[in-house]
Amino acid sequence: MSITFNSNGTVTGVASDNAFITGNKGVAKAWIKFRGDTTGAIIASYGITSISNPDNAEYIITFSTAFANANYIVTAIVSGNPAIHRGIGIVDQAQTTTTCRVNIFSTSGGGDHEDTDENCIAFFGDQ
Amino acid sequence: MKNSDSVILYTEDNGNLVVVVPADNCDLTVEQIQAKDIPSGKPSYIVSRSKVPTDRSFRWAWKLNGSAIETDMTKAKEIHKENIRRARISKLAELDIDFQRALETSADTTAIVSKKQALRDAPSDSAIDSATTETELKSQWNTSILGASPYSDK
Repeated sequence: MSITFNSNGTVTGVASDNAFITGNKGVAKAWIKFRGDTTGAIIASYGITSISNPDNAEYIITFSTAFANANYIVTAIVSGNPAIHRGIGIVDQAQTTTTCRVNIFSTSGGGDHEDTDENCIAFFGDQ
Repeated sequence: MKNSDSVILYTEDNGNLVVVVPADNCDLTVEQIQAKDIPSGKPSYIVSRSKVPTDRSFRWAWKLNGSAIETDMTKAKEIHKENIRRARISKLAELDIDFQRALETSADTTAIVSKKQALRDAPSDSAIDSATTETELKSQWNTSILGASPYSDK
């Protein structure tokens, strides 16, 4: 499709933000920054309809648009400090096309689940 | 009113209360998110976010009474006892070192043995079982043997 401008300055033929993102393999289809110490308050997000807190330091992120399959990539970081080392992982068998369930644990606390102040997760894959 | 002014509550099969925070920028209403994101067949409730307790000390003892959140005191007592067990691990390790040093110098170990026994007995304190509120439960934390309360910064 060609890009055109009419006399009113209206542009046509340009993909919408959502269409651009959905068709691009290299961009994150969804991302979220949330607080873990206040029952999952969302700080910022895209492509997410909700985040749930079903268990200690566990979160279910639900996507606005389902992924084509469950082989999408999840990349994440969690907050901490030099004295408290934490990690984040996908709960076994809990990565589906519509949701991803993650848990946050303290490596310096023997692997115990631990709520954290701030967490960031991005999801890459085909939708 | 923003979506995030509300939360959606439901109970998982394991009894855990799930708090669902709806996103603001997803072009769906809270009711639409409820229909889309809550597992089918689960009764769920949209409530004001202000109804969610800010004190999460006993978060995993929360349960639904209708659409209201309340604390399951039986679960809360187990959480409290687990907090005691975690806190005493390092205390017992320190006392083990003190005990070994006392043995090496043939010093009196009576006080050390007494402290270790107090730590072992701490989770079974009868005052824990008789607590009827979160506040009463939190007060059953002996800082002289367990150190700082985990609830003091909540």
